[in-house]
Amino acid sequence: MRINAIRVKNFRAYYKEHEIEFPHDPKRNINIVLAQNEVGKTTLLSAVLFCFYGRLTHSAEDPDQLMNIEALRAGDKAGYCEVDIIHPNDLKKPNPDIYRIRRNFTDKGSEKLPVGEILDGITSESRNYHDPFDLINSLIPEAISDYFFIDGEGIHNIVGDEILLREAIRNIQGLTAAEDSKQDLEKLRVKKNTNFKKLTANNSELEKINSKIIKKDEKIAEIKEKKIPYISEKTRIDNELRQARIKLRECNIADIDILVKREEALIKNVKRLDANIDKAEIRKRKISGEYSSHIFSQSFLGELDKFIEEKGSVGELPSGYEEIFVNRLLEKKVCICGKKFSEHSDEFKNIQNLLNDAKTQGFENRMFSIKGKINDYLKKFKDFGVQMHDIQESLAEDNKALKDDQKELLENQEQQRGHDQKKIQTLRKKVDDLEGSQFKLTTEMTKADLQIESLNKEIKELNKERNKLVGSKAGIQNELNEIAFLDEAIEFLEDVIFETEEGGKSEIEEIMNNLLTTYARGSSRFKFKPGSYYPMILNSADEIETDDEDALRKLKQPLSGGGAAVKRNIFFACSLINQSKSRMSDKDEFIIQGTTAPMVVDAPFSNLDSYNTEMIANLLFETADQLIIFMSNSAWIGAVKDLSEDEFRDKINSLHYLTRSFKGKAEGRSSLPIDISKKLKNIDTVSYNAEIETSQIHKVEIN
Amino acid sequence: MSRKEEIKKLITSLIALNKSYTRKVESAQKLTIQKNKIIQAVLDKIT
Repeated sequence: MRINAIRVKNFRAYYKEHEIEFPHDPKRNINIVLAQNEVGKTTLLSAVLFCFYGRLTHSAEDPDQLMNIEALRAGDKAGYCEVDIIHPNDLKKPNPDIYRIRRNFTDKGSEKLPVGEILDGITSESRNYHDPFDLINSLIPEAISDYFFIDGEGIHNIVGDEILLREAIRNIQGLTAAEDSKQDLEKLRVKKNTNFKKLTANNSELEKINSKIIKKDEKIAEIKEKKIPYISEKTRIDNELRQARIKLRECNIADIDILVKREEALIKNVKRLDANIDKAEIRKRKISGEYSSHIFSQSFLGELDKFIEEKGSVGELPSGYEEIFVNRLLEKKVCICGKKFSEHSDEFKNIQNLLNDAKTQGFENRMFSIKGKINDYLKKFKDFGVQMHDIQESLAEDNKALKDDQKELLENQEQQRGHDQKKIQTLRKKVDDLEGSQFKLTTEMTKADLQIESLNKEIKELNKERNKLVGSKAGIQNELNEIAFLDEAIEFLEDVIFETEEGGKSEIEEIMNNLLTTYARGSSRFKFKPGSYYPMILNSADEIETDDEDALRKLKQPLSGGGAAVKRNIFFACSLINQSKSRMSDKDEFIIQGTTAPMVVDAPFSNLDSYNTEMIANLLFETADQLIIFMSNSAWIGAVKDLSEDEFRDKINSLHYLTRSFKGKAEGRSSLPIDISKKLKNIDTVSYNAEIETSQIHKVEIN
Repeated sequence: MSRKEEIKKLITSLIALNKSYTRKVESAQKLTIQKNKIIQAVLDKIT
């Protein structure tokens, strides 16, 4: 299949009609669309998905907003997305017919099914095509669309679920159709056995074996009948699960998990700080009580100390009373015993000396004692001050931390409210429930398959017995031959399905490992978990035994999420497609043909450095039968370098770039130039003050 | 053509038909008839 053109009218970023053509040229398979961010490149990938499946890319914002806003303002309430394709059966024709598929929409929503027409490859005459939806699902079933229509931001979806991955791989390998074919053969065998029974009704021995075979056939039919609702239920659950997982991923679960953890830590912190502050306040009160006398007397003691210092220095102490009393004795020249004495007498001098001694010694002794006590009190008060300071300091720190944490907690809770916790919880529960139902149904279906397998083996043995009995009896021999042929065909197909599935897994592993060795810097190795489709990336040194469940459990699903994983996911998609292609070209043995389809890839390089950009671009160029790739200017420079010199020049079929005009002023927005080649440099892809706001497509002549 | 070749040819045709997707019951019935015709044609040939 090839995509020949994409057309949009009033679709999201595009006002009015726009067209991008990829002319059919079997030798040139690369189509490049250059565009800076927000200019409208993802919208073109969405246009293909919308036309084929009625949905947008998984990462599209406002998926219900199909109508272009400018068109709505102008009163235009309808639009469409249209894709021209060439049927795989017509690819070798010089003038292939064009299948034109269009899905219309209005401001009320989308049409349920696309409409179609076929344009004659020679005359261009148009005729109606009634089932474009069936055609698309025959060529690229929606279940495998994520492997061919790759949204760079949603690439991790391709390995979201082991069961869905298995279905997709089997589908790409053509095994789903092979299983259906086996069932067709089995149904006819049941019919033939019933006929045979009628023909041999008079032979009791044959009758016995026939009855056994028919009973077993009936049992198989009964089991299959029971399986039908399981299959449709499983398809429903698979689709719901895929959608629920995508929605859950859109809620940025990783971020919310971090926020919830941080919130828990903050709440804990706030509680701890609150407790610390309470403790500090209690301690403050306690030491205030302990030092209360020191606190209250501190000001008096200070004054007293000062007073003593002043008075002591002018000799007014030990006390005014003593001084007045002794001085009066001396003035009156009277001894304390009442006897008078002269001023020059020894008594007078003696009393004078005693008074002086008393002043000196008494003062010093009393001062020493009082000052000791004052110092003791003041020291205690200082201790109180130090302790109180420490408490206050830690209180201030705790209060600041508390304030910061409370602020962060509020912001955190605000962010969480933005994440819609309830929605996440509901989605998580839904995913859990759906996974449970999916597992239950898969188990039931596997059980049914094993029963059918065992019954088929028993039928085979009974057939052998019956052949012996019939010998070469004319008339019924033909019937038996037919049944035997059907048995052979069923057995052959079973073997081919088994070999294709097991061989396919080994081939995918081999291709994937070649890509990892060639392109990835490191020593990683890819492997499916033995007996399943669980993808694993191992270090070269790891040797995982089939029964080493503990070691397997420790390994994370390796292809989803993260920058390196984007690369691995693209490797994986390319491995599947390359494996499918390799089987198509192999003509020596019988093979079940897989699916090959165009790859439409949007911005796969956003997280990659220039080395990886060039490498992934080369890989995509080599893998895709037809590649339509949307890339930014930097990716273009990293991947192709210069159009005139690049080795892929001869493979480039078309080159376009996108621009966008805005109605308003630039308002600080910078220009978004692109450099296409040495001659076509610095083309500005945004313009302002335009009459209409729309994205536009421009073709570059490359020859 | 050997028996094995007939089987391979039959299976190839059946798989091609089974790859076509149809939502309509009518089309599905037509497809079943077509598939049975193909199988019967091979059976007639080998017997």
